[in-house]
Amino acid sequence: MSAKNNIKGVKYLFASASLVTAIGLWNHFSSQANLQEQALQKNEPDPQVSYVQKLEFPPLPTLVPGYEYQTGVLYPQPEQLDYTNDQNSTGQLREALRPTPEAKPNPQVTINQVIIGQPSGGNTLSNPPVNNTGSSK
Amino acid sequence: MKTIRFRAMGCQMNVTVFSDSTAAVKQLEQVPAWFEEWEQVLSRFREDSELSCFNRGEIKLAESSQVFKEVFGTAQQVESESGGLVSPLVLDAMQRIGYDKSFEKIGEPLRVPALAYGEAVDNIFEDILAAGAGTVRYDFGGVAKSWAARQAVRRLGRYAPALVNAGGDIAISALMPNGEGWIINVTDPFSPDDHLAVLRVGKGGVATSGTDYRNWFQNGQKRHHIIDPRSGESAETDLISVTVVAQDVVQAEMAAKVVLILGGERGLAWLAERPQFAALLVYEDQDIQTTPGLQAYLRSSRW
Repeated sequence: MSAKNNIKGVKYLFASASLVTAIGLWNHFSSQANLQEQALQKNEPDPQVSYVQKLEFPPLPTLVPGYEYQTGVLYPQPEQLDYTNDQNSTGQLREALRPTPEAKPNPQVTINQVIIGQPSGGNTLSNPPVNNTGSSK
Repeated sequence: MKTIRFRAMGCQMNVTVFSDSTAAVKQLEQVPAWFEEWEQVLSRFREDSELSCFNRGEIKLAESSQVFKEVFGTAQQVESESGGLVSPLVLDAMQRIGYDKSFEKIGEPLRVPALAYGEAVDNIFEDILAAGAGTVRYDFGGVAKSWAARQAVRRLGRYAPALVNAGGDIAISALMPNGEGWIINVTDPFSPDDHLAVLRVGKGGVATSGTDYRNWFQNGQKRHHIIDPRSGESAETDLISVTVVAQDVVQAEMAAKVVLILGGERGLAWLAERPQFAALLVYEDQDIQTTPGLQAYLRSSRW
């Protein structure tokens, strides 16, 4: 009878030890996960905060008028940038200091224009051109 | 080979290019328009030319066109190299500074040197320039014509050997395709239909200055258009025409005018110091003299 009681006791001890070990391991690993989770939670931004708002990017220029589909109302046009530095400027071009002289459309030249075509090759040089120099006439 | 003839700047123009290519012929056809453009800038006979506007003080040199500036600079250089004998100011300014007693219009009285042969007078040019546009009147004269001839031949010469004859001021871009010089007849001032000599000239310039054509009588005294800046009057000279061959037509034109103004003796002395110029001098008494350098170009002569 005592050997049977001993075996039962040993079994009881093993079971207990296993249970305790399991519980201990469970607690250990669950605490690690908590720690990691806590660490992640520290680095994560607040989901309530918008990056756009934080960095304050200006809105992109609207290329086409925005259209609100629900109401059918166009978005207002973006403000036109004014490049004029001079507050008194009327927006007109600066007047040139000197007017550009107009090109004469039809040159008033009396031209007695003659184009003489001479045959190329040997004939040209056997009858070369002759020019005169003297008092200009 | 193509040739074009037209009148511009008050004289007959002959332009030849040794090419039949479409590009060269197109350029040749543009030559009259080029001269018209330059004449509109440089002519003192046109009221609306840039020169006339400049002379009236309506524009300043800094506001002028590139052509005007370039010719103005060329005239200044010629004036300096000629010792003041070829000046753009002769027609009006010399009378004003030499003979007009009222200097208040141009500020302080200008220095009026006793001009002598070889004495540099480019300071006058600088002084007048400093006085400002509109105070004196300019006339580029032969400098403008020779400059235009040089400009035209430079443009045409990119395509083929070319020659531009602007009323006797001849600019040549290169030898003819056969390697020979272009044929240049020197007109006899006593018989315009004949020629005194035949020259063969390659790249360079030929110019003739003479009193045989543009002359007249005023109060019984013979006048001509070659003004001596030293006197402000028509040059008193024993020469009737001078032809010069040089590396550049602007230089040739300057030298021809200087020698004519100086006369035979002083002109030959001036040329002796400048071997880059080859010259043919024709005297009023029909005598003819040449410099040694002319032999290289002379092919035939009547003396």
